[in-house]
Amino acid sequence: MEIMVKVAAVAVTAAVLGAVLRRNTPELALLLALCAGLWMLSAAAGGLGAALELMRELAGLAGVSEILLEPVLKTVALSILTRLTAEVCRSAGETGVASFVELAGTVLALAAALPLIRAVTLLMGELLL
Amino acid sequence: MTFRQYERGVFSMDVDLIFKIAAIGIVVAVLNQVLSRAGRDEQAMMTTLAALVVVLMMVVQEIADLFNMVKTLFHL
Repeated sequence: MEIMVKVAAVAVTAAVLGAVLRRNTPELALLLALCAGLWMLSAAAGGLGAALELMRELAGLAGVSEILLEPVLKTVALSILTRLTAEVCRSAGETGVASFVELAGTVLALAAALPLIRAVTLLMGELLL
Repeated sequence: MTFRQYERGVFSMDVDLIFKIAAIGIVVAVLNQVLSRAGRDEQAMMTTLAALVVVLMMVVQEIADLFNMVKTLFHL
């Protein structure tokens, strides 16, 4: 709860300061927004870490191996980075670069999920034979 | 690891950086106005550029920290 209060305070402060900076130095306003975003993300990292820990615990209880869990975690990390970068590019007015980042993120997420797809296919083959 | 432990371990960035960037921006805006009025437009532009480089250096460190944090969180 207190983290959310902190995040809200930082967000409002960053928005006001960004509005001040936007008139004369728009590039610094962009970096300020990026910095505020990084701060908020690192504030939320604790929750993310706890959720990941629970996911690993549940996978361990269910007997799912770490190899199968890894593509899922990789995809989550990729999507976080892709989203952050694309939004920064978009707020800089570079919509084209943002789309390229998103495309690259999609392709890399697909590549990260390939072992999972292969494992599922092999499993189905074993079941059928 | 509980939520609290994560909070203490990961939560390291300072809010001061945001205020620092804003302060640099305001100072540069004032300098820019003064230099422009004095007819030194090229120096005004250099000031803006120097401020941009300084702030970029500061933010790049934080971006690197974020990437490392994501790496350690996901055990990649």
